Amino acid sequence: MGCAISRIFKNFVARRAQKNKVHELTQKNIYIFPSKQGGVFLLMLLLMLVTAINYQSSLIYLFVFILFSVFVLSIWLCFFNLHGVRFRVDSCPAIEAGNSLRVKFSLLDSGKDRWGVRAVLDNEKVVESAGLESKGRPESPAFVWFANARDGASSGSVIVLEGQSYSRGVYALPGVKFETFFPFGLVRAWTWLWFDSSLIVYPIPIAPPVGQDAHASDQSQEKKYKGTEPDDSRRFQSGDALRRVMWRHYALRDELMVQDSAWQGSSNTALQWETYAGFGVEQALSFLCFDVMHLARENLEFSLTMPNGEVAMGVGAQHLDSCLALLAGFK
Amino acid sequence: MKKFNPPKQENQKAGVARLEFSSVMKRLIALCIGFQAFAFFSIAPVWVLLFLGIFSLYIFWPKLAAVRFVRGGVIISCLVSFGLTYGKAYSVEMAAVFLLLVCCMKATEILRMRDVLVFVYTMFYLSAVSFLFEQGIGHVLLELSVLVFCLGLLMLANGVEFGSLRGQFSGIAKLLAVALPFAVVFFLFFPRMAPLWSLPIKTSHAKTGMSEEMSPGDIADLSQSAERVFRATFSESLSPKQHQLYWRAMVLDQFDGRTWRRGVDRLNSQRFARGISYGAKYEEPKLFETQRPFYDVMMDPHQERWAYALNGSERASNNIHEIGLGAFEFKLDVVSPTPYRLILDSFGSSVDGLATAMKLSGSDAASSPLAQDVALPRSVNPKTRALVDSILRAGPTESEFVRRLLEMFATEGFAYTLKPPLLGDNSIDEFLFSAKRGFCEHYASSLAFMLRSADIPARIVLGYQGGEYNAELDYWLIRQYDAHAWVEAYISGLGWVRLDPTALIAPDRIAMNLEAAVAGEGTFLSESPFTAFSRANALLSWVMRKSDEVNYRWQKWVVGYGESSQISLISNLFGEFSWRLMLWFMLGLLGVLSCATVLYFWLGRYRSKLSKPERRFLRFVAFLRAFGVRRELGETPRALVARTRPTLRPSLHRPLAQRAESLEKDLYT
Repeated sequence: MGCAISRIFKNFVARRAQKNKVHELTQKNIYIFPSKQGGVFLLMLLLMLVTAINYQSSLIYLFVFILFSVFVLSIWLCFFNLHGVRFRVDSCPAIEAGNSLRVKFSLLDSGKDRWGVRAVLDNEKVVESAGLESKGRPESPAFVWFANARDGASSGSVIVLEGQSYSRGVYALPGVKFETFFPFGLVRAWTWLWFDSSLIVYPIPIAPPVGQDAHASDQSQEKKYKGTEPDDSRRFQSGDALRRVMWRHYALRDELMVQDSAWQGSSNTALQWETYAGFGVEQALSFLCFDVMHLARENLEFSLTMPNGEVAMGVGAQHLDSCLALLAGFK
Repeated sequence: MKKFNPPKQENQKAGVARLEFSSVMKRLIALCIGFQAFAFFSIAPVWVLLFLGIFSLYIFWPKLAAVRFVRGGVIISCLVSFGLTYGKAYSVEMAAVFLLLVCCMKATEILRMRDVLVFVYTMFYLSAVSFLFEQGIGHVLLELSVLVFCLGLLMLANGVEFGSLRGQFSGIAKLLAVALPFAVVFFLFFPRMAPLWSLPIKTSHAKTGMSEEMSPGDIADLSQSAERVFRATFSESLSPKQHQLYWRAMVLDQFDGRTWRRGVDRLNSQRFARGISYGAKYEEPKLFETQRPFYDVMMDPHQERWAYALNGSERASNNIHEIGLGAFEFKLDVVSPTPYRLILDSFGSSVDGLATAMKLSGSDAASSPLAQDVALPRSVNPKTRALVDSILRAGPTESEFVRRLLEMFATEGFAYTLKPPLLGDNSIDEFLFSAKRGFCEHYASSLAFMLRSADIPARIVLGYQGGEYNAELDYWLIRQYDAHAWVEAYISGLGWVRLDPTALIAPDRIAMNLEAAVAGEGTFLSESPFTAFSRANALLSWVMRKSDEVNYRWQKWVVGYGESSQISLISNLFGEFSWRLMLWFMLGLLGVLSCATVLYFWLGRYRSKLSKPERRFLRFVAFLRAFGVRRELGETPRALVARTRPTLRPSLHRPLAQRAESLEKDLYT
C-alpha cells in the first residue's frame, strides 16, 4: 500500500515538476516523511507516554520528551542534509538499444558536509553510482556521497548513475530520486528531479552485407571503406579549414596535413533511407546505424536523409549525435 | 577524520543482509549493557549480572554464537534462574528484569540492521521503565548515557560514522544540547493527564525501613541506617522544636508477649468504614491552599502505604486519608517521591505532674478505647505482673500509677543502648529485672505491658522522632536512625496521652538526637562505617548536606512536578490558569525555539571552510593589527614579523618569531 501511495504521490509531483537544466534543492522540492523505522520509533514513544501517564512518572515524561525532541531535530537535520545542493546533468550520451543508461550528474554547490545521500535513477534501479570523495582540504570533513568510488578519482563532484536498459527510441530522461536518512534513520528526506535532457537510444549497429546496398553510387561505395589516401592530402597551410586537418595522421606522424579539397568533394557520402528500406524497419535502421558510426569513426563527411528528417553534410560528434537522434526517433 | 561507510544497499531496504560490525558499534552495545546493568543493580538479582556478562562476550567473539548448544544452554539456564527467582508472583520489577534479560540476549545475535533497531528500541523502553524504581539524579545521568550510546548505534546503523567513539559522542551531545530546550518546554507545559487505567506497581524491592510489627531489637537495627525517610517543611507560624516532633507512622495494638503488631481486624474495619480501598488509581498529589498553619512532607518511596504525621494533624492534600487512631495512609504503595500536606494547629499540651506526657488532640483523641487495648496474653512475664499488682495494692489513681511507673524508669538504673542484650520468651521480665539495658522499643514495650496489666488501655506507636534541621532551605530531614517507639495510654479524665519513657532514660535522645544520646557508647552507625566516617569528616558531611539539598530541589521540582505544579506555574505567570492558555503558551515557546534552531542550522551551512592553520594565521594577523601592523599582500608570517620587528615592543619579538616559525611550518609544508 505504501508503494501505491508513493507512486501516486510521485505522479502528482511529476505533473507539476518543471524540467530544468539545473535543479537546486529547496523547501519546494524536498519532501520529508518518517521512515518505517521512524514510525516504529513514534509508536514506541506513544507506548512510553502511556506508561508515563498511567504511572504518573515525571521522569518518564521527561525521557519521552527528550526522545521526541531528538526526533523533531532529526527532521531538520535530514532536510538540511539535502537543502542547497544543485544538480546538473553533465552528460547523457546516446546509448545503444539494450545497453543500460549512464548519466553523469555534477554537483554545483556543496556548502557544507553532507552525509549519506542516495541517488536512484528510474525509481527502480540503482545499478551503479560513482563516488565523490573528499574534496578540499584534508582536515575539512569529507563531502561524501552514498556511493562507491569508481571513476570518482578524476571526476570530482560527479556522480554517474546507471539505469535500466531501453529499446530504441527517444525518451525524456527519467526522474532521479535523491534521498537521505540522516542522521538516525528515523526520517527520510527525498526529492525527484526531472532534467531537461532527452535520452537517445539508437538501434544496435549491424554491418550490412557487402553489395546489398544496391542503390548507392559506385564511387562513393568504393571510397567508403578505403579511408584516407596520402596522395589526396597536402601540407597544412594557414587558412585551411580546421575540420580538414587529418588529425589521425598528425597523431601518428606528427605532421599537419589537410585533405585535398578535390578529393574531399568526391568522398561525400549521402546515406538515404530508401537504399536500406528493403530490409524491414529495424534491420534497416541497424544497418544504417552501422554505416553512420563507421563513417563518423573514419571522420568522413556524410549526410543522412530519413523520412522523419534530414541531417545535412557534416562531420564531428555533434553531427553524429543528430544522426543517431534521427535514427532513434524513426517511427 | 570523519568518514562515511555506506552500508550495503540491501540493508536500507529490508534489513536482510548482514551488517558489517565496526568495533565502535560493538563497544557501544557493550556500553549499553554495562550501564543498564549498573542502573538495574539495585533491583535485579545478582545472577542477572552474570548472564549480562556472558551475553556481552558474544558481542566480541561472534564465533561463540556458532556453537548452538552453548547458546541454548545459556539461554535456558537464564530462563530457569528467572523462574526460580520470581515464580508466579507478578510485579513490575519482574517485568523490568525480564525485559532487561531479553534485550541483552538480543546482543548475542545482532547480525542485521533490524536486530540493532530491536536492541536500541528495547533499551529506550527499558530506560523509561527503570524510572519507576529509581528517581535520583545519578540514575537519570546513567540513563542519559545509555540514550547517547543508543543514538550512536542508530547513527552507525545508518552509516553515519565519525571514526571514533569520542567523535560520535560529541556529535550526539551537541544534538542533545539543542534538543534539551524543546524537552524542557514539553515537560513544563505538556498537559499531565489522569491515569488511563490502573496498573499494578507493587514491587518486591526490599529496602531498609519499618515493618508493621516490633520485636525487641528491631528499631535498634534500623538505627544503623542513615538513609533518608522523608523531609518536612513547616509553615512560618509553626516553628517546631526537636522534642515536639513525634512523627507517627502506625499504631501497634496487639501483643503476644514478645512482639507488638498492627491489629489487622481493626485496621480493615477502619479502612472499610472510611471507604479506603487498596489498588485504586494513582492519585496525583494536590496540596490544598489553607490559611491555617500546615506542614508539607516529601516522602521517599518506601513501597508501603502508611504516611507520617504529627499528632492532631488534619489532611490538606488529596492523596492521603485518615484511617483512625490519628494515622494516615495512601491508597497505593508509595513508589516514587510523594508530597503531601497536613494542617496542624498546635503541638498539643502537656499534662501537669506527668513527666513526658502530652495530651493527644485530633479527631480520635477522645475516642473510647476498645477491649483489645488492654488485651494481653496469659502467663507471660509473671514477674512484671506481680510488680504491677504490688503497686496497685496501694490503691493509686490512674495518674498516680502512671507516675509511679515513670519514676521507676527514671530512678532504677536503666541504661539506653544501641546494643541491647538478647531477650528470651518473657522478654519484659528479663529486661526489667535483669538486663536493664535497652533501646526505645524495650522501654515502650514494657511500659505498655505494665499499663495493660493494670487495665489501663495502652498501645505502641511506631514512627520517627526529631530530625535534622536544614536552616538554609528550611526543611527537616528525617533519617532511618530517627526511628522511635513510644506509648499512648488512655487515662480516665485525661483521655489519650502520649508517654515516652525513653525521654526519661536518655533525655539527649529527645532533646538532641540519637548520636548525642549514645555518644559515650560509640555505637552510633557502628555498622555503617562509611556513613559514620563521612559524618565525622567535616568536608564530607558538608558535601552530603549539599547533595541532599540538591536532591531536595530535584525531587521537588523535577520528580514531583505534576498537574498542580503546572497550575501554580501558569497562575504565577499569567495570574490565571486555563488549559487552553497553557497549550498556547507551550506552542508559542516551541515556535520561537524552532525558529532559533532552524536559523542555527541554516547559518551552520555557511560556516567557515578554512583549515586550522589558516584560521591560526588569520588570528595572528588580527593580533598584529591590534598593534597597528598591517599585513601586505602576499607576505609570509616570517616576512611580516621581520618587517614589523622595529615597531614592536622587544618583549614581543621572541614569541612572535616562534609563532611565525610554527605557522610557516603548518602552512607551507
